[in-house]
Amino acid sequence: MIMALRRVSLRHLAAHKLRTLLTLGGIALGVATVVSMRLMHESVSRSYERTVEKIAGKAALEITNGEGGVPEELLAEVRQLPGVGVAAASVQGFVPLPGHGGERLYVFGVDLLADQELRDYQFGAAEAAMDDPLVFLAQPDSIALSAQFLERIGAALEDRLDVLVSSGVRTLTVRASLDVRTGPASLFGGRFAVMDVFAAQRLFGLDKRFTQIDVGLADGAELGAVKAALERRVGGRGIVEEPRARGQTLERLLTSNRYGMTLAAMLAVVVGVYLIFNTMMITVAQREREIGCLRALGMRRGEVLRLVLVEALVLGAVGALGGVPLGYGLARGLSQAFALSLGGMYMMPVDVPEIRLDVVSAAAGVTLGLVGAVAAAIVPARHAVSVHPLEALRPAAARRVPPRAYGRAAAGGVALIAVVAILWMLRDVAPLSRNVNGSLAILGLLIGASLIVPAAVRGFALRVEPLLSRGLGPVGSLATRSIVDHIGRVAITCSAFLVSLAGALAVATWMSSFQRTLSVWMDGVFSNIDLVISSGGRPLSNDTTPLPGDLVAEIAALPEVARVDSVRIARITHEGVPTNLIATDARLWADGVRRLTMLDGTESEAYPRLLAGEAVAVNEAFCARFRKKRGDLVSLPTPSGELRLPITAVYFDPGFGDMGIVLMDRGLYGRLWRDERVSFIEPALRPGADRELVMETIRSRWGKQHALFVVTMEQFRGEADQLLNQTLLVAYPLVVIAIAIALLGVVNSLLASVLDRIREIGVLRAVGATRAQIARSIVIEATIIGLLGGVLAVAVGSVLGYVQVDVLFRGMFGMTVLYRYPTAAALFSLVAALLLAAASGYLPGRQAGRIEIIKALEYE
Amino acid sequence: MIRLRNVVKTYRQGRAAVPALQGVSLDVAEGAFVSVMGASGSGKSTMLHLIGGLDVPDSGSISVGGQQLGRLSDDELTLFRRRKIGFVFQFFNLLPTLTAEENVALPLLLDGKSLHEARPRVESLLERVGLGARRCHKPDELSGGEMQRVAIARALVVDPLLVLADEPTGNLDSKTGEEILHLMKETAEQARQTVVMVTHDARAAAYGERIVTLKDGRVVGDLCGEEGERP
Repeated sequence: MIMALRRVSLRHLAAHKLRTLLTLGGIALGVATVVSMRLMHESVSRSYERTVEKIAGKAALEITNGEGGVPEELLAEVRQLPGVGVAAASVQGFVPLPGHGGERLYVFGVDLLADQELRDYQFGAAEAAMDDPLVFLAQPDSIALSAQFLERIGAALEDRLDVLVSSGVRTLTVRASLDVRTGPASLFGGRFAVMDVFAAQRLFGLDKRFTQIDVGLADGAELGAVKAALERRVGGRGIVEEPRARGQTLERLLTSNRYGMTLAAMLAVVVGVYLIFNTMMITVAQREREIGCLRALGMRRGEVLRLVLVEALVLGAVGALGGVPLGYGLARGLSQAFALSLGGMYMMPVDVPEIRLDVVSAAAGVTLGLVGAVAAAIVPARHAVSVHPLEALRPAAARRVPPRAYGRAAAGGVALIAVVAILWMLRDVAPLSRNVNGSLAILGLLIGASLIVPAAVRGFALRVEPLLSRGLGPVGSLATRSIVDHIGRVAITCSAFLVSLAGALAVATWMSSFQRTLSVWMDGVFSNIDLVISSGGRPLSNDTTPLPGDLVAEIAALPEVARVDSVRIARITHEGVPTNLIATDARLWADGVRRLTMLDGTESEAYPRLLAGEAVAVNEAFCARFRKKRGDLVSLPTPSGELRLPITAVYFDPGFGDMGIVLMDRGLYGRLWRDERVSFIEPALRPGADRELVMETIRSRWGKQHALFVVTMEQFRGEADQLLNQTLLVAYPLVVIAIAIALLGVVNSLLASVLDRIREIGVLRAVGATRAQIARSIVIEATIIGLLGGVLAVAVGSVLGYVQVDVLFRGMFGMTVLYRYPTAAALFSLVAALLLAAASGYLPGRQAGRIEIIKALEYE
Repeated sequence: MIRLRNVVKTYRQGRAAVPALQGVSLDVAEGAFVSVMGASGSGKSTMLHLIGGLDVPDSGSISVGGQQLGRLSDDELTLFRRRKIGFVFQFFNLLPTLTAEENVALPLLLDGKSLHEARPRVESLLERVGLGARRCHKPDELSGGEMQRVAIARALVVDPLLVLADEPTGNLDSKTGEEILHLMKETAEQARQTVVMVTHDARAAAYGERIVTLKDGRVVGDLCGEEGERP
């Protein structure tokens, strides 16, 4: 067996280096996408866990409450509890640095006297100020920066540093430097600052509140008992958690994201499997004589089967071994953009992830390569086994598959599609879950379409032949006849092309549908608004800082301003999961100035209850995440104690993707969260007011003090579209890889076609075909594959997109998404399929043109 | 018609250099039917390929119909083959995907003619080789003799200056082989075409009015006129 593998299989692979390399490349790319997706998700989750752990230090428990924080008085209460050894409060958050374009700093306000017991800060040795923390504390503008950050911004001790907070631009003085090798100062690439907790409270405008309280246990105290005692004491004012549990919140949030990305990565794998299948089919077909010979010499069917499977395993193993490091490299390349996009999407401080290749991910990649290779080789191996020693020695023409077989396969494909279509239509009553049903529909559709491909390819090639023959002469008809004669190989290539392009179109459908959904939503929510004002960064950036509440009234007093809405968006925690709270002026709804799109509940009932502070409204994603419905009670921890209110309505708000939103009146929020700040100010102007002039007035009057960004509604919507594109951008490399693998398949198939036709090419050259004519014939063959693949991909991709929008958005995220067909992407796919396929025919075409006539004529 | 001067051709097989032709000089007059004989590896097929422009010599010169082949680019050589030379191979070398008619028409189609334009000429040639009724059949539906007749029709379709036949009867039974040789000789005489036929069958070679014998890449015999033995 080993001898046969070494002497027969491996030598064959070595003799066809280019094809073997293309196959290995395909497997490697498929494995690489899956490995990279896994590594990125793992590392981003780990990075967040690490952030939480480092900030927690030696603390065994943490008391937090999202952005609203926990009340100051809680600290003293906690310290008195039995079992609590040490309790330290902190105020934390990112602040933009207006003087250093785009830089942000994570400010960590701690009680320096108490905190050293919990956390490790290594201060630079030479700073006199830190020899005695009291000197540092005596000056409330003191800040300690990491040495790394000081170096990056070119600052030294005693330098001043402007930071932007809700009360405007504030100036701090650098009075110490931190060693970044250990402790929390090593976070965020050194963008880390320590200051006094009370100074930080003032800086962030957190009135008598802390961001969190960290608790260390007393000697001999039992964690469970202390946690229970703390929970009783804290009541509804915060959440008591172990740091590790809190570190896993991002991972919980990422479940849907991971599903979506895996779906895209699997696309690359499926195309990779097609490619292995293709190669093994070609290899077996080309070696039928050899296999027949081996059978004649006494090799048993089982041994032939094992030989082909082991050959596939070798290809799979080598491809996977290349794919794992490739995936690692891909993850490293994409990780920063990925972390930024997730951090922005979920409003969490995600550090730049450190990509580490772990054994599980590597093993998953290798297993995938091996399993994929063996699965893809089963049919070719069975085909090899069926080769009869005598049959193998007959001329190839005598072994053609009868066209009836393609018709039967197509009928099977249509039947399969019909079955999954019926299942899909019955998805609301079927016992299967929506996701299983959707995944079955996607799989059934792809397999069904692949089964139809051979008949479609044959029918198409036969129909276009007269046309090509008239237009291009014998070169055209030879290309189509080559396709008809090698339907099996061409169909597999075409299927791989179909699957990858259909996948690309499906991704375009999600994007297009999501864009339409956002657009419709914005039309409703942002009607009657002219400007959007934010501080610290453009409204949709990660750098915004809340604005003081009194600025709303000042802007409303401008004569050109008819009305001002103000929105507070705060990160809160519901049942331990980060959730968004949107607080806005409910009177505007009650007065009919602004409206919500109700999905469950009525406007007439909901608005008065919201205005009275008797109820909240939630979006669909909230209901899906927490299994809530209208009428259920929502319990939220607030600095003033637990808030329990019923859900009066479920409304349409896809603004935060799959994150839950609780909507309430800003008055209620202000009272309970002790927070009068706003995230955005949204003025509507009087008829005839000069918009540019108003923007200029706002900028000149308050712009510098609050680092304001004033944008028009149109700009805001343009940026929203751009942000959406960026968020979905991570899916694109996967699609590109899938298409690249499919193109490798086209090149592979054409190289095989050149080999199959080598004698024919020799004859053509002998009787007067030029090299260019030969090359053109191969390019035409490629173009036909591309055209057919493209047309079928657009058909399949359109259905796939529709199904995936439903599975992903409605099934996974629980969101209503308005379907929109991506016309431009479909047209682009079609044209790109044609051009790319034609281009991929160039290399094999050139190779065919260069074949030596004499050798080709002698080729067996 | 054909003029070879000191033609040398060496093939490489792995590291070894295998001399195929070692300074062959030969002249063939227009309208002649020349048989080239020799044992396997004597260089006869190589000489045929070089005359047909399928390969190029290492040194020496070859001219066909006054055209120095060494001065032609690959494309010019291809056009020369397409328009001036007809090939008949031992293994027929018909394209399996094309019908008999399309195979015969191939050189004309490659030259830009439509099948419609080529059809009268193709049909008359197929009638002449006795396959008028089988023009729509594909090669795998024809017998060996029929395939070679199609190949002869293809070689003649452009009315070439020169027909080159490489063991045209090597894959046929003796009766069919004789029919094919008769056909070749008859059609060449009618069209006053020059024929060079490579064979190692003495009976086949005798159809030529001149028999050139090669051994180890050199011309070792050249029998003309009535010296050639007729069957």
